[in-house]
Amino acid sequence: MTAVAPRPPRVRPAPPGRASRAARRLVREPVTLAVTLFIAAVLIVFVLWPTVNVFLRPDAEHWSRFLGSARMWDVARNTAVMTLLSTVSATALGFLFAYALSRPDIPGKPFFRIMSVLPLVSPPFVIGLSLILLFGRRGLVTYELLGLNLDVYGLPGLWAVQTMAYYPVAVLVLTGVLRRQSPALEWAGRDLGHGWWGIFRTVTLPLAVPGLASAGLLVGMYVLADFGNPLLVAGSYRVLAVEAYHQVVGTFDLGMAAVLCVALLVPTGLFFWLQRAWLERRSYVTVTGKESTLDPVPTPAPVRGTLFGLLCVVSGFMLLTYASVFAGALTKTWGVNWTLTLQHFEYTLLRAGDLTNSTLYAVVAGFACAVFAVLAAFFIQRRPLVGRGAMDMLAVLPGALPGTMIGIAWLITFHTGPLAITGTALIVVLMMTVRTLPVGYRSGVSALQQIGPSLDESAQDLGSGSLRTFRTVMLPLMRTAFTAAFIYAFVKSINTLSAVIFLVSPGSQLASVSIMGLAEHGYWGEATALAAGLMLVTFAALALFRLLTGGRVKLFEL
Amino acid sequence: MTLRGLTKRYGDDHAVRDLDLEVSEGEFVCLLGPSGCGKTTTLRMVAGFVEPDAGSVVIDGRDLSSVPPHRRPTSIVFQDYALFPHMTVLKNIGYGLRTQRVPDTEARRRVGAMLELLGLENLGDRYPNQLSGGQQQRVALARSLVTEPKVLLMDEPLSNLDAKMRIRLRTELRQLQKRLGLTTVYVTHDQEEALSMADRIAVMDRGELQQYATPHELYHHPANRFVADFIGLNNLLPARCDLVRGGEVLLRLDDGQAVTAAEDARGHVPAPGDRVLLSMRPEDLTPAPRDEPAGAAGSAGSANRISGKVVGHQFLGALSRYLVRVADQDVLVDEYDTTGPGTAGEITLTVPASRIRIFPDS
Ligand SMILES: Nc1ncnc2c1ncn2[C@@H]1O[C@H](COP(=O)(O)OP(=O)(O)OP(=O)(O)O)[C@@H](O)[C@H]1O
Ligand SMILES: [Mg+2]
Repeated sequence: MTAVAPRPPRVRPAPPGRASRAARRLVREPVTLAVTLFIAAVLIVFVLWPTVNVFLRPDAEHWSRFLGSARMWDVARNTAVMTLLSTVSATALGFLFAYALSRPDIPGKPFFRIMSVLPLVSPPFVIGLSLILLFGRRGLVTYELLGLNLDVYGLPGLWAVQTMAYYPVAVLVLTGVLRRQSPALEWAGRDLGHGWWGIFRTVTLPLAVPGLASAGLLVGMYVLADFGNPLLVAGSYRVLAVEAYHQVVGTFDLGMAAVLCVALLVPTGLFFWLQRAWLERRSYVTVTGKESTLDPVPTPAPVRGTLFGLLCVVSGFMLLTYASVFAGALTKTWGVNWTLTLQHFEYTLLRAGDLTNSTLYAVVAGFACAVFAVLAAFFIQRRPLVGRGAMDMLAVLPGALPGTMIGIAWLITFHTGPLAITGTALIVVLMMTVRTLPVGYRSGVSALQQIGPSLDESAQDLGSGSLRTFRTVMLPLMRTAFTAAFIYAFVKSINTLSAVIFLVSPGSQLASVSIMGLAEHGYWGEATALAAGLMLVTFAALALFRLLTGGRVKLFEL
Repeated sequence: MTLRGLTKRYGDDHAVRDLDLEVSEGEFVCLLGPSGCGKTTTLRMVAGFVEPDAGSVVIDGRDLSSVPPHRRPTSIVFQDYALFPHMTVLKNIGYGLRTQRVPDTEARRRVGAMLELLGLENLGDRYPNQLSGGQQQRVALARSLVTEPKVLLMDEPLSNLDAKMRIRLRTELRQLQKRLGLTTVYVTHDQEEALSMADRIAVMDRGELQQYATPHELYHHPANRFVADFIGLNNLLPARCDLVRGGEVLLRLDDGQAVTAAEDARGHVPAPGDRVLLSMRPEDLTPAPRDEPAGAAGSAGSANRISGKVVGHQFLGALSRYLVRVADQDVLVDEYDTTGPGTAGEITLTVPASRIRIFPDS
């Protein structure tokens, strides 16, 4: 299971004539019918309806105001520049990192691999937070140590933060790509007279191009949709996600916010579609069994040294980032009073309910996501449904939607009307569930693909109804997929920010949202203590997962 | 090219041990042996992909030990070709010329000549995944040949092809090699391929060289039991040496039958009382019914008569193959005249003394 790539499974469209037979069979099986209707209802209400609403909400006036405003054009241009820069640098860094990890003669790889995964399992805004702690106006490095009066707020700071926050996505994709390259090809290049650089330039790199493009699009999607880091460090450099947020919280102009969401969704959707539909088929699969005992070509010492140095610098920076967050949590007043204290931890862990809420909601959402994902995978893939292609698409759609957009979509849809549930804890949990559904669903589908239809058919043959087949045959076999979906959903939910920020209310405050507020007002101690708490809970959950599965299943490559 | 004491260990196991081999200019040498005997490892040490633990590779009097693979005058054709999937046939073939600083026009001429030589003229703009297995094989060969290596290395280059294609390319390859006078080391585990193509064959087992000889020598004068058993079909019968006398070795099978073998200058000469193994090819044994005197083969004195009982029979078209029980051992016997009714029951096998090899029984 990949943490970052909810690939839509290929569902064969049912040939005509099948549909009516499927319908008849459904009527004969009331349980299947009921469950199917339930799944369809959930997908329609919580995925399709809000998405459609974002498009319907703005009227012509909103659009003309958006298109006529020079400020909005600035925001759009800022977003494009920021996305382009961060995507290129994060992908390039990710490629070098992955290349170094794929070489046999670089020491310390397990450590570096873990360092490259950490950002995927901690709140992405932690990097922004630590940038301010280290290099901000009162930053430890810039102000205290170097005596500089540097302003990191703005594009340069944001660029650096997003590069560090999202290069792991590229590493994850590209280690897979590079691992699949046959060493024989590099050896062939060597045999025909090329040195390291020649092979890298003419063989390794060109073969990785489809993978690089794929990684780049994925990174682009994340960067574009990122909300926490720009909110923290972009300052007056406005990007679409932040501007949409301000339209909601500042003026409650939902129409304008929806317009911005659409503007955000178009490129994201395009990246998503390109990445899935086109690039997936273009990769060079060069795996061959025959030359398998051939070790990869050795790397020349200077290159090895450079790569190792790069790994060290990046990982060192990562360590520094996390260390600064924990240090911030233990410091009385960052930048002013460096005395050690436990008061922030005491406050966040014991007195404020945010972390408890976050944990509790994430557990419920994780469970709901796992149940629903596995159920949906089984019924959509294995039962003769009408419109299963559409349902399949709806189940993976949230993976393509920026968090800010879903958040605003839900605000528009559920603030008034038949399902006015904003302000409740329920809507927060539901949001977490829906946002993590695509990955859970995909892991359920791939587990099903390994099980094979004959098993489930034979159970039916022996007289099991659908639900019974599911419970007695499929569920035990899908237990691993279930656990993986649960932990994934938990980790992502506890750290999520961009969508839930629109839905929390005083009664259902979340740690990630509180951190933003605390940081905005300069309460670094409390903010970092909360962030540290989030990370500790996350790491504990991952450790538990490893314990439960005995390390058989990899989550985030850990 | 000379290999001297070449050794490679993986962990505690020797993949190749103390291998000495000399290949003359223009010679086609096959490395032959069962799976895992170290053929590929040897080839990779010559190409420079694998660092030997001991020993050296010398080409044209130059020790290549410290020469990296991309500066060696060798070129390898991989078992699965390792064609660059992102390059056309033309680019693939021209790849090795780019580093040799060959001028563009010259490079184009050489690539063109290579295409023509291998009958690939129309395929220059295709990508490897648009080629058949045989075509890919030829592109891989062209890619190596165009760099004009001093020694061409090939690792089971035909093993991914179907049987017919294999036989056709085998002939083509050999003709091409002769025409270009190219020193070639060819790895295979198919003995028919080796026998039909090679000037000399190096038989390896468990990392060690067993015999290095022409196909003819190898077949008719195997140096040891492994080679006798590995190349072609052979019957190995345990026996005891009674007497060595005037160029003849008198032996006794376990059931008491006497057998006489000619003393082989290249083979093993036992002392009286030694346990030995007799090796006889199925085609050297002539079957006849027990009561009939053996046919023309029995030119008295040098021919042996051994009694046995037919326990199985296969008709293979060009020959009849019998399974005969001799001294509690199964012996294969081939009869090339298949027009008759064949024999059954108790029979006599005739074998000339000169067609029996003797190996020590360990
Ligand atoms: N990279 C490696 N690491 C460990 N052991 C290896 C490696 N390469 C080869 N070996 C071992 O060395 C021995 C010889 O291997 P080699 O590939 O040379 O055999 P081969 O004669 O080419 O066999 P085949 O006909 O199956 O290709 C084998 O036992 C193999 O397991
Ligand atoms: Mg081999």
